[in-house]
Amino acid sequence: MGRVLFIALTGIFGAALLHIVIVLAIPAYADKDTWTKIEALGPTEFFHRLPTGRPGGLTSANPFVRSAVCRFDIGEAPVRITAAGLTHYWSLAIFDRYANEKYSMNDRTATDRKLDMAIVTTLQMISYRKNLPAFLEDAVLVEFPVTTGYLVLRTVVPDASWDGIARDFLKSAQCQSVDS
Amino acid sequence: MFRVPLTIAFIFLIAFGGATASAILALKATVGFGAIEIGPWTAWPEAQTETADPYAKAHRARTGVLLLGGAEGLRFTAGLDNEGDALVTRCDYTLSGVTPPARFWTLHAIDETGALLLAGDGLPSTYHSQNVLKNEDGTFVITASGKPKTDNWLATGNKAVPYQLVLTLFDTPTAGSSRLVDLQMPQIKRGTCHNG
Repeated sequence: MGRVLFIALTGIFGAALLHIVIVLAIPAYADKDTWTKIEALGPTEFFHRLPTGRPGGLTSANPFVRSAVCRFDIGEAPVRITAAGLTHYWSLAIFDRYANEKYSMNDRTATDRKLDMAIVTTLQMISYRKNLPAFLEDAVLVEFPVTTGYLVLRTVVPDASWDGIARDFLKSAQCQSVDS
Repeated sequence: MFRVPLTIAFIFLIAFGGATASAILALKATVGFGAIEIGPWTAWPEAQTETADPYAKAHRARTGVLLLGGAEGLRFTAGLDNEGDALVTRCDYTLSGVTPPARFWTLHAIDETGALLLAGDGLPSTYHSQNVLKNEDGTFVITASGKPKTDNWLATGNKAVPYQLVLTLFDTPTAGSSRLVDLQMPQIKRGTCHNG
């Protein structure tokens, strides 16, 4: 009897310990997390438009949302994000590769409701503070703590007539390295 | 003579089996801590941030879905009605009330796998803040049912399955709000149930 109790208690204690280890280790070993799925989409610094609500996909099943995702690396040069066109609503969120949100905004928080943004490292930010290139004068500068990450651009389609407009907006979205 | 190895084997079996099972169960049951609960509706405003708890981080790594950022919106889900019973397609439900302030909100139903609940072609199975019929005071009533209803009918299809309602608020102060107790979400009340 004592042996059974010993086995049960030790087993449960071990299970509790391993439970914590497993939960903490999952983010590092997950094989279908957002970063892996985004890497599988294709090149960096390019907006990939995503299908809505495909099982196991990147987007949730919300039928009114259209999204595009861009993976970037600002190690050498900042990345500039622009988009043009009519939208009912747009929003954008920047994540690091571990899916932690670093920055998010929507059309109301943008200047003139236009999307014009540059993601820069701390060092690049210092040099921009001294001398900001003319073409970045209107851009929102976002200081990003690490060099790799991804950003999601979303817009909504209240009804079918907005489908084409939303597609044009996401098509016009650019995510490019800034030269010089 | 096998007493010691057998003891160790049993301990390992309980430890590894229990740990794996409990981790999977915990990650399936909840997104983590720090939920906002308003009646049957639940949302996790911090799940996508660095400060999310380990369960939330493990959950998002397993599902791999792009979450809404704080300035983008907040996604509420409800799998239960106001009485605490699970939502099933063979019962009718009325959603009534208002949503927290937001520029735009959407409502749709999902099945257990997270895919859009299939209601049949051409049937109204989704709503948003601009196509829902509202009362003069801004409140609305939506009836979720497998059978046609007047006014706002949210078709839930003929297949008898459990489902969840998803109400997404876009550009809402709710996520950063400290006055969470004042927020109002629609009530979900069960109506009649049909057999077969």
